[in-house]
Amino acid sequence: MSDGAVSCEALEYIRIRQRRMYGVMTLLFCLLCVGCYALFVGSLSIDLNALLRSVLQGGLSLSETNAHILLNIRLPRILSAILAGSGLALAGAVMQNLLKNPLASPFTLGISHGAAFGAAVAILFFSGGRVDSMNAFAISYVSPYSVVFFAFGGALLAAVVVLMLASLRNMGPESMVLAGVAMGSLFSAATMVLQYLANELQVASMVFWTFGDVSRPNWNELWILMAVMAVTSFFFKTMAWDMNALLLEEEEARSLGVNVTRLRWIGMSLASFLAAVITAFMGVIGFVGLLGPHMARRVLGEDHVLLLPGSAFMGAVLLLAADTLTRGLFSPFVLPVGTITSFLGAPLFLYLLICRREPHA
Amino acid sequence: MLEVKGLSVCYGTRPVLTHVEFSLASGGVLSVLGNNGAGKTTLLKAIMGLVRPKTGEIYLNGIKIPLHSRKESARIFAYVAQSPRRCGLSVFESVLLGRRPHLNGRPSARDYRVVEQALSCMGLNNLAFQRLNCISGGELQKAAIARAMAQEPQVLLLDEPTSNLDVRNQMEVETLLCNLAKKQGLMVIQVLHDLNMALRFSDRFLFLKDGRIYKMGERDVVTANVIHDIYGVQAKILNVEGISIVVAV
Repeated sequence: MSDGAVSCEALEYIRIRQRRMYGVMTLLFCLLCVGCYALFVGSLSIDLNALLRSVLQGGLSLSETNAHILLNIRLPRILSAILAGSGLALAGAVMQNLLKNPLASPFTLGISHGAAFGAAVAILFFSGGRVDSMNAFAISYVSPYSVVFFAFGGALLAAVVVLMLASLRNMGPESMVLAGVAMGSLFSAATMVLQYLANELQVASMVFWTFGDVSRPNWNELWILMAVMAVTSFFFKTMAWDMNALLLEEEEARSLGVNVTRLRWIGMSLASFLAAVITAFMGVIGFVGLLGPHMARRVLGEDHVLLLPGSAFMGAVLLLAADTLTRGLFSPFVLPVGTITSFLGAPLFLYLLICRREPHA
Repeated sequence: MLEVKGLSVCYGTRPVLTHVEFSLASGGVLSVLGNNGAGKTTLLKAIMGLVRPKTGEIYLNGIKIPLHSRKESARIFAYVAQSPRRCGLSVFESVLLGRRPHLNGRPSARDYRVVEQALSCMGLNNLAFQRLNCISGGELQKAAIARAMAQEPQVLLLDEPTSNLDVRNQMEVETLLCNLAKKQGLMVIQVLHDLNMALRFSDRFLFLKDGRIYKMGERDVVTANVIHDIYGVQAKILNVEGISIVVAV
């Protein structure tokens, strides 16, 4: 297409789109910078200059300890934060669009509560949480896979119940959000009952699990996360135009040829699945799924072709920055990242609400 | 020529439309009139295939329209809702959405040209990059009509297009619709409550009562008796400088 063939409005639109594309690239650049910085933050300091010199000389001459810390502790942790942040923000952006509700996120739809309930079941009934070693700062699970498996089951159960109710009763988006809130309350209540029945160590395990922590996944689990992320992202990309149409009245979106029911069903299923996998591996991480899309929307607008990747990068930057903060702030102690995201997320969200442009009266 | 034949719609077991039949020639503006709950909006949705009719067929220029094909239907019909939704898309982006039924991948130069024409036709060029949640109600309505035009439909369906507008914007929108129909051979079907607007800008009238056609035809079907039977009010139709005006008495 030659630019001369189109009007000045179209050229201006293309220019605005390019600017927003640069915005997405800037977010990606920020992510790379925070990621590189995060590699060198921790209780053990690694000499950045020595590392760069050795890389420039064509090799990676690190002591065995440093190599182990970089490759088996910090790198997986950074990748976990990137995958969890981007996945939760992507799921949040999709849910907010499909449910036409700015408060929709994996957390508000009961998926996180479902996962916490599943983890509690595993800890109480399947020995998932017998405490192997415990000190003031760490609890490790004897049978972590049963916790992950049950947490995934709980998260998926919450999502499936909401989706089934929506399908059977032909619910609208508002009712789906309310059903999610109700399921979240139900799972919270059920988790409390389990905590009441559990002994002190099991209660500690259950509570500890709910502190989202990006250091839990190992390389095998990261590969699973990457595969889930790649598949869901591909499908979301193909739905971006339809999601834009859904910003209009639902009947208008249908009149543009969008199968709204199918879009909502497939999109919600994929977003719930993505959030369920992340929560099962890393526990409850609040606010990233809510905040990431809202921040990206302010920078990139509502066009989902750019908003979806933008939200993913924004969520990844937020979670990685929060995790780096938890590692650097009280070093050598490490706070669970979920506490920081909630601490900083809530005031940031309030700030966004106060500053947001109100619709024309 | 659009022909609607034997269209019936039920919500559950409740009949909402019963055996509706009418036709509309190219360039024609049809006003669907009736009291609340008469089935006017359902008629628009059934024509577009948004509501599955129990019986009935729709023909465009003698060819039956497959209502199950959303994309096909979206190339023939465009719909403007009663209250278009405000969102963070710019006017340009929202009008570009109208090209969705024609898109194969990215928008082409032709898509951009169609959008520019639609914006220009609605006088929205200056507002092209304003967000939909920052413009007035009248501008929002015009943006919705521009998006419908960008769909390049043959039939434009509008659900109370002037209900949220002041008198000046009502006149502007109706004049634009009338011009579109006449200049581009578009068929316009609009649900209206304002009988005066209908009388001024439409050339065919369809009165619905309890889901059935009560009266249909040209200007002469709008009489005091019909208005009384449909709305239950006494009315007079006056002629002021060649313009018919309905006055409830």
